[in-house]
Amino acid sequence: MSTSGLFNNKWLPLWLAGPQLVIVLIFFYWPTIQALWWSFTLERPFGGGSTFVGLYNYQELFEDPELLYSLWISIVFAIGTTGVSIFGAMLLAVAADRKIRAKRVFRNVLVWPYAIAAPVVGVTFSFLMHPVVGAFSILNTISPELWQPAINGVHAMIMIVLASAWTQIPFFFIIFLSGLQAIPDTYHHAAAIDGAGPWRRLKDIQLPLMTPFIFFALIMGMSDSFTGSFGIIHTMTQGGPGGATNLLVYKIYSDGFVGLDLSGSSAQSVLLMILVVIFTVLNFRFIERKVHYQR
Amino acid sequence: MKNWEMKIFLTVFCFILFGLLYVVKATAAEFQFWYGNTGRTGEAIQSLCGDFNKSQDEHSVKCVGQGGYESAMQKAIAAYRAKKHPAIIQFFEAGTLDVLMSGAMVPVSEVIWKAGYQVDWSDYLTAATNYYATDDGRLHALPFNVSTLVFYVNDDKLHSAGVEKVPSTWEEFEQVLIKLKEFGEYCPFAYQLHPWWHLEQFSSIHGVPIASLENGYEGLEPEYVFHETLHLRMMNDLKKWHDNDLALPPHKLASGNIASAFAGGDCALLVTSTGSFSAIRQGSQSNNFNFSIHPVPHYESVKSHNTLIGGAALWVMHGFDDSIYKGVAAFLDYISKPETQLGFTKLTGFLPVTNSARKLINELDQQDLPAFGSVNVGMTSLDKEGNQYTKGIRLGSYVRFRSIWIEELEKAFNNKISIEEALLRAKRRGDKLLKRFRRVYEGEEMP
Repeated sequence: MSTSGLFNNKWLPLWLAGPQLVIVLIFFYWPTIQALWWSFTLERPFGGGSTFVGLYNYQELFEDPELLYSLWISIVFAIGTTGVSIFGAMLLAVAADRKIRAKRVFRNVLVWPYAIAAPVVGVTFSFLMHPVVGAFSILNTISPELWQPAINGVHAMIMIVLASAWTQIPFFFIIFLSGLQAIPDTYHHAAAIDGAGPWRRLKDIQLPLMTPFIFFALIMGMSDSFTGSFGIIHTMTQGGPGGATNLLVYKIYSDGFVGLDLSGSSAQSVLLMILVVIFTVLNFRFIERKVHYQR
Repeated sequence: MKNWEMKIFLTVFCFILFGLLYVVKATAAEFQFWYGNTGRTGEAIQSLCGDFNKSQDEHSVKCVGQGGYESAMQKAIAAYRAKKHPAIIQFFEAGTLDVLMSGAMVPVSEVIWKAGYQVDWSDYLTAATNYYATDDGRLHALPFNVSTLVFYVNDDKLHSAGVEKVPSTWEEFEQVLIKLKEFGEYCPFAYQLHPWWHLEQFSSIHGVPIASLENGYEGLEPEYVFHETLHLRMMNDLKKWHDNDLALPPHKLASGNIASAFAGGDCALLVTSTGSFSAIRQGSQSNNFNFSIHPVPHYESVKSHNTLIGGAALWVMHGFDDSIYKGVAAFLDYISKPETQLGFTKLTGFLPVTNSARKLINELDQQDLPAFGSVNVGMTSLDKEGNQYTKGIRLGSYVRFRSIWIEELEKAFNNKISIEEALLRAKRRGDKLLKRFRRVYEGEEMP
């Protein structure tokens, strides 16, 4: 009998990981490789003819000012959404972590929105933010052009950032709350005896100890905003007005499925993938240095 | 025979029998028809399919709603690549060249002719057949749910503002807008930026080109030219009306929708599809106002030509047996019957496509006629004399171009760029799409 704590069977790990690997291969690597291949060809939508064109698709993309704009607003959107949702979730988590009445109820209720699908959020927020009949129309009673997401690109961007952040906040809230609760009470007590108020304790004890959680939220939020914003854009702005919310993920859809340009949109999805990788690497490289994993 | 031989024999026999049954079942002409309409029109299509299946028992059609023209097309493409496609697919007019070049379709006129049906194509509206026919006389798709652009007028509002005559030119139209505004009308005219009416219908009515090579009918290397036609003047006028609150976009209306705003009695004038007729008629009854339908105005300097057909057509896909195509032909023949068209028009508000169906409708009793109120104006507009630019649009990736046009014009209406610049940018981006489309189908001829 082996006492090493390791299994001797060479194939067992592979058997155990097998189903997972098959799923990853079929649903991730296969489409990725297909997209990569299509991005070097001109593929006819109904099939029946595809020519290898080398880097032609990429060359066309980089000559297209719309694509650069789309890349730029994708980054703005990702940073905006992640920033708003991390800030909002932290605010709620800190509030729920205090000793207040019915805090169990609040904790549960604040998690619910996470179960709502993005398109539903989009439709709901469209009503809420309608410039004539929605709750936001109050702004227009102050000054008529104060809230016009249907014609003003900046307003439209604010609108989708708020809606997307709203879908991310519950998830981050759970993470932050569990992070806060993992901080030993003794730290608080010691600080309180030394005369630190709640604000000081937040700044010097809670936030530094929370950095691993914030970093995790940052990575998840960024990659999710690059790829997961489709449902909200499709139901709220369809990329408008004037292309102001035509994020890369939506442009890929409209070029590929509305414009039936499979190759062009494949090239763009390869770019999107590279963008997500770059941002994740940058985050790990520069922001992770400020993260303290030790407690 | 020994016992074990018997067993094997029986097993094999059973397999062969089931196999035969399966083959027999598959050859019974059941075929699928994928459509995009939802709501009332979707229900009307389902009842149409039910009626066809009841009317005979040789063929059977299974009609499947796909929740939108675009998603029906996307699913059909995926299904075609996997060889699990339907026999009939509905697609909207803007994508005509993309579908035509795909090589995935059989011309409907061939399917109908091969199955032995006699069709009098001259009975069809020229505007309807022009859109889907090629020079060799083949009709590639059968116009199914047809609409066109018309002009809705709230008679009560015009009357109380002291306007006697419904404007027939854009010059008169502008005077009426000013009068209505002076009278205190909040919404003289409701509009939505969309190339279907501002660019396509407008250019057809004025007989001016959208792209060179007769809007792409004469070759695969056209270029957009709309940026220097009368279209420029129309957009400048519309922008002027918009800036002076004479024309209101959807987001300034409480309902957020121009047809609903007109149906609710909030707006005096509206230019939109005949497809909105039923909803507007219902609205006028519940909100107590009179309205009338007229041909879309034109600029004084130009005589008015035919409008284009909107809506969608039915395409027959490749890769089926003759027995299936027989059923397809029977179905297409069934839906083209004047009586069927009349029933469909009544349920949906779409226009009939043949002159005999129009005649049948005009012979109806007086009390039945109001439900068909859009038919005569719509069909007369479609049936006007045209020229080489009013046949339709045969440009690659045109569906995508529509969204580009909207994007650029939205920038202009938000005062970011001028109308001239917006049209020029739309043209340049459109030309890129056309060039790319040409390259995808390099070496292919236009059917």
